[in-house]
Amino acid sequence: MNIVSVWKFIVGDSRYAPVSVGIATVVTAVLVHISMIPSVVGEISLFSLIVVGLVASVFEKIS
Amino acid sequence: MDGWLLAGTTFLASAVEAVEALTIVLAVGVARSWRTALQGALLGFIALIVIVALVGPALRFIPLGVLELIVGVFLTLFGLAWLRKAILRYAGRKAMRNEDAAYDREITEMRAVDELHADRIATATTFNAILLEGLEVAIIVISFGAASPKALRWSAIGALIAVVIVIALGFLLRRPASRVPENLLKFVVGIMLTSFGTFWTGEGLGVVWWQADFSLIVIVLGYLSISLGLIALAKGPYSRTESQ
Repeated sequence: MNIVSVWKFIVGDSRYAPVSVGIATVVTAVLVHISMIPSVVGEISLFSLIVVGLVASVFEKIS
Repeated sequence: MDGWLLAGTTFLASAVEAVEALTIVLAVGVARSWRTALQGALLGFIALIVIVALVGPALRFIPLGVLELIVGVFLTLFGLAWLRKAILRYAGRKAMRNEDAAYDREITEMRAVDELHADRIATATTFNAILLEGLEVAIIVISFGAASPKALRWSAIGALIAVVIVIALGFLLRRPASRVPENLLKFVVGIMLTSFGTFWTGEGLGVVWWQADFSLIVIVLGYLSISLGLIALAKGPYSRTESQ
């Protein structure tokens, strides 16, 4: 079992979902380290960016 | 986190894996013999115990925040893949998973194999099925129970009950596959995995969730309503259907 097949097993065949999770993680990490920004902004951005990935992944093969 | 909620989640997630493994064991048992099928299953179970015993404790040496982040991202990715498929299935954009078809396919393949090697292949088939699906259950249990020994206990209880019930039902019904509504199970599990994943990713990153663990319920309801909306939207007059 190579790393590519493990990766495909975990994320399936969507390209957008893993990208959105990556972006959500990075953006939230930045937001929570900026002390003047309330934590709720980090919560909402994390959830929203993952939702964007879910929506994109559902429609990426329905053109 | 509420123990029963945790146990319920691992129960559902583990039940899906157990149904898949049991379908293969039953198919091999019917096509070849129960001896070879159960022999492979037993060997797979022993291998699983050895692997979990060797690798499982290593998780304790990883800092909790890092562990939550890694597990959270993993669960989110895994959950999104399940949820996406379930949404597409309910929207009619992807064929519903049919465990009867998987069962019949397995039997046809087994009967076509040279008699001389059939027993070995039968044993190897159930060995792999139990090992792979069992590892998935172990990952689910360890992932959901990573927060504390108490969480691990609840997580393991949920998985253990699921496995015992599915095995008992399987042997009672003989053809269990399509009798468990797997597509509904996968939809619910997709939502739960994505929700727990989002929550733990946030915790690992240092997010202070509103009302602590209560946020999890809000996240679950959020993903549920968005998924139901997506099913309705995907049913619309868009063009082609995604292939299996």
